[in-house]
Amino acid sequence: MTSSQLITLDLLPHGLSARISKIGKGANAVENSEPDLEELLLGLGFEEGASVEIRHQGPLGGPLAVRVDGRLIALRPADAAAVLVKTAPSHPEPVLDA
Amino acid sequence: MEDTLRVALVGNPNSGKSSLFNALTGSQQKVGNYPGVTVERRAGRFEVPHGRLVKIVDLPGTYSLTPHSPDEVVTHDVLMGTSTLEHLLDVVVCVIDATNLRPHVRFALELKRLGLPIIIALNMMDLAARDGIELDPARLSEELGMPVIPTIAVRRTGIQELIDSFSTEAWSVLWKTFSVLPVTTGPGPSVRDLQKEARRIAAAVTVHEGVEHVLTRRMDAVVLNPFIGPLFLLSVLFLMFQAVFAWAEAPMAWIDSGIMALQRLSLEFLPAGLLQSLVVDGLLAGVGSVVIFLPQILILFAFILVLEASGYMARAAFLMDRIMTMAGLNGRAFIPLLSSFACAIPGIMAARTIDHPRDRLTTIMVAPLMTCAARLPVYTLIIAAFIPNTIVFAGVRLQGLVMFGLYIVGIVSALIVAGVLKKTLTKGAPPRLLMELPKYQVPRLRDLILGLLERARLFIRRAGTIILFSMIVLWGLASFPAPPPDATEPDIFYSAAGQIGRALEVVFAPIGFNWEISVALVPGMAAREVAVGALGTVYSLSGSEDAVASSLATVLQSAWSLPTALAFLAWYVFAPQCLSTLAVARRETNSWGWTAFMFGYLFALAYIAAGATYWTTKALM
Repeated sequence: MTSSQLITLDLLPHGLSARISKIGKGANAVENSEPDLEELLLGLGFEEGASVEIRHQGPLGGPLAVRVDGRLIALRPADAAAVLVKTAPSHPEPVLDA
Repeated sequence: MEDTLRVALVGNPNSGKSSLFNALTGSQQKVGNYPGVTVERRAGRFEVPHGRLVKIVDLPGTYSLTPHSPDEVVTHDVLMGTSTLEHLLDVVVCVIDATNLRPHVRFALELKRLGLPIIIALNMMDLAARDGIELDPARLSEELGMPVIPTIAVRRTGIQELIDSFSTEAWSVLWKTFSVLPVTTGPGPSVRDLQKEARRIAAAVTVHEGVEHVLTRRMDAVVLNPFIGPLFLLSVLFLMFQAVFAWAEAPMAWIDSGIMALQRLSLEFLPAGLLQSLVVDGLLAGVGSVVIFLPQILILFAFILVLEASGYMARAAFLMDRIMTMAGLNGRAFIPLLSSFACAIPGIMAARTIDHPRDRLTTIMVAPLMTCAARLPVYTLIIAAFIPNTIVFAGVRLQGLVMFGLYIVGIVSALIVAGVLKKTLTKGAPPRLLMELPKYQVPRLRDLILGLLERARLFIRRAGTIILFSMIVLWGLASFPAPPPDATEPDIFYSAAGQIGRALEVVFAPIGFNWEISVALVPGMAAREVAVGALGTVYSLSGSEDAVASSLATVLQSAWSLPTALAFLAWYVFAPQCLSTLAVARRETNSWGWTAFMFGYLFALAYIAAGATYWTTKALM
């Protein structure tokens, strides 16, 4: 059995679907920044257990377009780093003949 | 309950709230501002059968009851009943997007603690059906403990049912079935608990999950592609500008000839003298200089509205975000700045879509640096008079190149100023880009027309009143006092405007401006293109605008030196000379300080640029 991997959302390969396991503070968390990133992300549907998939990236290393359940959300990679996701094994392990 | 019912419409952005508001109120709506904050207030009214009046307000869209932006603060305070901006509410209509139930249900659950009756409008049922989503509205109503009315706002389906539910009879029946929870004070259930509950309800209500909207996915594969996407955006912009300048040409000519016809009539039927002069040169010229830009502005707004309603606008911001961040701006600043190429006023107004206050302020501050349409007559005049139309290389002519250069100087300065501002005055944490890219939708003509009328009205009221007023004041300054009988100079020389201009010459002489230019700058405050007419007056030319412009070019060739002419061009790249822009900036920033700063920094840049141009050219000649 492959254990599923825990990575930050910005590192999730495009087109690969994963589940959110935790929302953190983010790589460039700014102290006392008024709208709390975690709260904003929660408001847009980034919640534990939701399925996510990176669909597009803006030109020149621009923002990511991430599908979160039914919504397409644009956010910058630095902010996406606040989201920890669990990838499902991309290929089912070949089952050895018993 | 008395005969007026106060209703608030709430919901997540992109839930179709505005379409529902339009469907409920039709033309019975008023768009204004909440006092003290730059948040748009949309209010309307409609009558319920048997005479009950419903006053409805469309509160700014929000994802939760925790406010993050000025818009959301208004929504929060009005719902909590702590706002002095609206009356206490009788009922809340919460708009839920049927294609994306879970987050919307969470918001509805959050509303429970308000202690108000809540009606759910389960909107976009058509899009849900299109995506193969099947829902059970009765179950949703049962789970939430709130009445649920399925609607398709854009097709007016379910609107009558919603209106009927406000009638006295339906009302008493409705709220016997559903109980309203008492107000909950203190911290409510945690976001996570709400999410869990919303997830459970959404799963229970969904009969069939549906598939992802295929068209949106296919279109995004092209539109958001890092290579094709920007090219597509460029072609959209090209079409938009082509339209703004080409399609507006004919209606602008009609308006122009209409105004001229009225001026001729006034000249014929009004006795010569002050009244005639006031009507012809003050009132009509003033109204004309405002109305002439209306076709361009309406076309521009029509494009912006279609781009917004179709779901493309957020994608344009997505594509431009990286480039705009380099200048310290936000992807969303792109459209306001783009609009400013037609006129800074709609641009500054469009900056409202930027949710971050400091970003919005920076965008407003640099918007006047984009070369607006009103500068074109000035550029055209000076370029025609002083720049030889030689071919530089491969069919590219010097005149066109200079014009292009003036646009580029504007853009580059805007980026530099924005960058400097972000490092100094509007400094702060790097703003975030967190936004929904909504599903593509075909814009509805009804919403488009209502939106267009509303913006046209705003433009005419904001720009129109101030331009008209200043034109009349400037007319007064240019007409009084009358010239002495033995006058040798043109009339304006002796007037108050002439005296102010000549006094200003002390300020402007070091950058190569003569008294004629200084005088023309005064009436030019009303709108930039008025400076051309004012120069005509100073050089005692008369006749139609075109005749003045062409003979003016000849006069200027002999009256101005090349350094002066180029300095004048440089001045107009930056010149803060547009009272209406300043007035709108004052409204939108809600601050005299920032308005003064805008005027000050533009004036300083214009002065330095004109001076540098003058002395450099002089040294080179």
